[in-house]
This record gives sequence, structure tokens and C-alpha cells, in this order.
Amino acid sequence: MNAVLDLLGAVLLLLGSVFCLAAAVGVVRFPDVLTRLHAATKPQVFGLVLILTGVALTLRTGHVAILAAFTVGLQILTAPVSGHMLARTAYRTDQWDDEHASIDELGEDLEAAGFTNIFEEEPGPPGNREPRS
Amino acid sequence: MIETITLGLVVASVAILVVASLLALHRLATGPTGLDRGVASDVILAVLIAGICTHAIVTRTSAGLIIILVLSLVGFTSAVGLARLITGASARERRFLEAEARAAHEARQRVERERQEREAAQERADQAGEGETS
Repeated sequence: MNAVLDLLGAVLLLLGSVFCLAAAVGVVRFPDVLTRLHAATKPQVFGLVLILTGVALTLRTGHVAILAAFTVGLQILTAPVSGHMLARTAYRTDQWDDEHASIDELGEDLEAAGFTNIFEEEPGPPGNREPRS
Repeated sequence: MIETITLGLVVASVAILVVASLLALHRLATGPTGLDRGVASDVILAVLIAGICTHAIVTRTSAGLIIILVLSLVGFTSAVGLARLITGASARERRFLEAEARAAHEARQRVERERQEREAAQERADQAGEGETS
């Protein structure tokens, strides 16, 4: 019974590390900051869930299970926040690839609300430009 | 028999994690923007956490597992901090703005010094003029 649980823990560890490899391959191969962010955060949390389940199955004590559950909960709470902050900065500083993106709903919303994109203004001396209507 | 299979699986997962960390390190080195490097460091952090879990599985001690908590908190804080501190100004523009500010400061200091010298010369001329008439 103990050996079977150890084997199950090792299988889960292998699956979790395959997910981490998928995240790393996605970060290398994807063309843009936002797509790389997508590849880095989604498999990362699930791989961590699998790995920590494997650890909790191998070390069969109570406080390890509590620690694993706490870490999983913390990661699930914080990973979307950090991903959102990185994506927000990438969008607002215009460091993303907007030529290959087909839909930009946030841009349409911002234009409908009246914001102008300061990185799209034509270069030239101030005062010469026509005011935007 | 089962123990050798378990050990083989653990060794395979360690090899996979090493490959994943090397790939993320490549993106950390290239990766034209700082946000790319932030994403890559997030992946390296996840691989680090997986490595600590592997160590806990191999040695069957739970002494190192508290580090995972600290690492995930530190990774979250560093990602958010990096994202907040990146602005849109490129390096060349920042250098230009710094040089401009420095030149303006030196010009102001020079103007101030010349004004003080002129006032001092004016005072000396006034005193010399008063000395002559008195």
C-alpha cells in the first residue's frame, strides 16, 4: 500500500513537471508578451497542484497536507493578480504585438470612453497638431 | 520493483525540470522587453518550487516545504513590483531627458553665478563712487 502511494506520488510529480516543461516551451516559442504570459501562468498553477498532491501522497503526514493545501490556495489567489498586473503594464506601455492581434476589445472600450492612446500620436512639435474631435 | 519504477519516474521528472529551467533561462536572457524577463522569472520560480518538492519526495522529509510558501509570496511580490515600475520611456529617451535636465540645471547655476558677480561688481562700483565723492 505504501509503495503504491509512493508510485502514485511519483507519477503526479512527473505529470506536474511535464506541465512546467509545457509552460517553459510556451514562454520560449510564443511571439508576444501577452501570449507568453498566458503560456506561463496557466500550466504553472495546475502543475503546482499536481506536484503538491504528489508530495502529500508520498509524505503521508497531516501537516504536509495542510501546508500543500495552503500553498495551492495561495498560488491560486496570487497567480491571476500577478498575471493581470504584467498584462496591464504590457498593454499600457504598448509593448505588445497589436498587429497580429485580431480583437482588441479593451482598446475599443477605451476609445468609446474618450481616452486617446498617447503612443499613437504623430510625432511633431506641439501646437501644430489639429485637436482631436 | 515498484521502488525502482518510482525512482526512475523521479529522475525523469528532475531531468524535465532542468530542461524547463534552461528554456526559461533562454527567455530571460533574450526577450526584448523587461516584462518578458518577468514572465521567465515566474516560470523559473515555479520550477524551483517543483525542485524543492522533488527533494522532499526523495529524502522523505518535510523540513524544506515551508520554503515553498515563502517562494510563492516573494515571486508574486516581485512580479507585481516589476510590472508597476516599468514605464513606457525607452532607455534612449530617458538618457536624453536626464541630459536635458542636467544641462538646464547647469545653465541655471551659471546664470545665477553671473547675476551674483554682476551685483557684486555693481556694489563695488557704487562704493568706489561714494568713496570718491565723499
